[in-house]
Amino acid sequence: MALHDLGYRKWQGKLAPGGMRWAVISGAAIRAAWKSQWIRRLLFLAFVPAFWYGLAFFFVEQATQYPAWQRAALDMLRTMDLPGHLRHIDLHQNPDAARHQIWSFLLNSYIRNPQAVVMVLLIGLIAPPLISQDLRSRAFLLYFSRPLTRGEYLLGKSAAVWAYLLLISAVPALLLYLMGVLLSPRIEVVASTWDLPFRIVLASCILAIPTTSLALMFSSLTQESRYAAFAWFLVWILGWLTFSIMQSVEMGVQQAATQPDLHPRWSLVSPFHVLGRVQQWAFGFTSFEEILVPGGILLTVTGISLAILYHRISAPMRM
Amino acid sequence: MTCRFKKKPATAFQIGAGLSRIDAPAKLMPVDAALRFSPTRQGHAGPGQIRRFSFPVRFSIEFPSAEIRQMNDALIELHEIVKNYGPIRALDHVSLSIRPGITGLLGPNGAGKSTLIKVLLGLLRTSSGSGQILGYQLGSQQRKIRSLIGYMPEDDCFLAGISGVESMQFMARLSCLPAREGLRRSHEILDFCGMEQDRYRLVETYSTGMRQKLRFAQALVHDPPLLILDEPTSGLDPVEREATLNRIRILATQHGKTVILCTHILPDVQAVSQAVIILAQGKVLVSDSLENLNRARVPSLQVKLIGPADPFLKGMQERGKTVQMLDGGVLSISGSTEELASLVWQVAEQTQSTIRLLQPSRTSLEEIFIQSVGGTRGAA
Repeated sequence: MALHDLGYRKWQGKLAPGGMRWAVISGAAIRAAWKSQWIRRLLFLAFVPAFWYGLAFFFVEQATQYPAWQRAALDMLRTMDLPGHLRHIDLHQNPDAARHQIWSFLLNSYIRNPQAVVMVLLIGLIAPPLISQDLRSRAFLLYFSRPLTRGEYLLGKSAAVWAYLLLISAVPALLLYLMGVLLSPRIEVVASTWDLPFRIVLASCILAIPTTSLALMFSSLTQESRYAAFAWFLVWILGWLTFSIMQSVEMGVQQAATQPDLHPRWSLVSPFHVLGRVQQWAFGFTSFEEILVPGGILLTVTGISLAILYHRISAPMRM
Repeated sequence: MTCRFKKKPATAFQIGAGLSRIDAPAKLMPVDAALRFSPTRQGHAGPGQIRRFSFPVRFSIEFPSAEIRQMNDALIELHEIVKNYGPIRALDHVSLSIRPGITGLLGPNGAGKSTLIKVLLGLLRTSSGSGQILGYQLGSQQRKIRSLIGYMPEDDCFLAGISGVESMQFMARLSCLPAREGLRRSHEILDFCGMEQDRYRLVETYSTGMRQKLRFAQALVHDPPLLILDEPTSGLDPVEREATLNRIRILATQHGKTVILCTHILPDVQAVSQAVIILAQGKVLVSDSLENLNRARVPSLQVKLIGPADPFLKGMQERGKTVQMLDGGVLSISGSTEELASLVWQVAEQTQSTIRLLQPSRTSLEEIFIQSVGGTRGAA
């Protein structure tokens, strides 16, 4: 028998504000994901392309000051699929205008190419268990018997994925921008490129919101997270394959390989290319009219995914 | 000068985590100081603590803290609640009121107990009807209601991938306890529930009984005034079952918690509850205190004899007593137990019968339950 037992005690402390309940859910999900060694490795790898792009920023800034670097800088940019209208840009003559365009291209290319691929892998590892695990362990009754709304639950789960996505897209892109400013000869460069941080955030949101909704929707459809992961990867692989095959059939293999984005019609079947086109708009490379269809597709996918998600997490309550 | 008056019910206001109404008799006593307000730590009155307001007219009003003032009120009032699942009516014009203490919620499978609990928690919208829980309106103030309820689900549900104490802290933080306080409180409640070092293990590795304990503990972590416990003792060994019932008793009697105990184990309800609600086919069949239910039953004596019972039976019937033969050769004789006892001895002496057992019949909850539910089944 215990010599001293406090037993049950009343709690009389001060409650925290209720508006951040979603943050409790996302915090738990972020910590749970961080326990995975694969995710930590992937995050490490996600920063590797930033070094290559950092080098490109260095070359560009050198070229704006020293004409001798111009050729080397443009050669390097061409390896990153520099668009035709930028291939003969003079970095030394008109550095301010050139800087904005080249930096926009570099940041767009960074978020669109290496980071979008890492995004597919990262979401495929993080998102599938987020809701399917709660379905399997029937945790919904525990969640919703607390003063928590379904919207807060969804926001909490989504925010966990967004946090990792921002870590691989917006954070390194903003660091690249900062590095560019520090490498430039004058601090006034900020005045001519002030919009780029906002464009980075916008492009990152375009990358994060529809993809997270889709992945969480797959997660909510099954109690087995591996099925959700399978469906997620299948969407990207099938989309890419369909686009590549149909474009090759229409344009011929050789032309399709050299000009992959020339035929935009079939790019609408590939989520990767749809995202890319809307992100190009975020960096000012395409007009708003040109992204109405791909933007509409992203909005529709997001809306349908959220509706299914909401329905699925409400289902256990209705029984 | 000391005077007393009874304060009329006033508007509801919130003190601490709970809601209370000023409707208990207020006590007036003289004091010297002018307007004075002496709250407890952080402005909240603890259980049984007195809040004192003093006014310049040299008297002060003392009234008990929120929980004590609620003792005479119904904490849950439901009026004509109907819940339909498509063509199926799960709750059929349910009206009930639940007072402080422990209330057993009974009913056969499919009676509507789980639906009623989900309606109380605001997880389901009612088709019609209204109600108040802890002074808040059912349907429109569900978040406030849920913050005051500790719910232990019947399902084997848990938060995967984290340890028991992390799971507790998580639930505490969802109820808005600060992180550090949530952890401290989690350990405190796990101590109360008798969960030792296992709290550091992943919840997936727990046995059924341990998960049951953890679900019970998470319902308490935010110190709610109302507990809804769905099958809290199922899957527990006899020792743990008794310990859990004891904890429920402690919470209700020493800490003023109102407990709704939803279970199929009738002896558990009989052991701890003061009131019982029996639901069947979505209707409330019985809603009364156990004391009243027991009182309403016809008193009787149970007699068991050694040897043949026929002469004794005949002797009792000759004296106008109704005798029923129960299982195991036990005779049940209706009537006032005190005068009946002497009559039993007389008849036994006259008929040369040997009495092996003589005791007042104990009216069991099981009997009440079977009678109530059997009636609806018969009607169906």
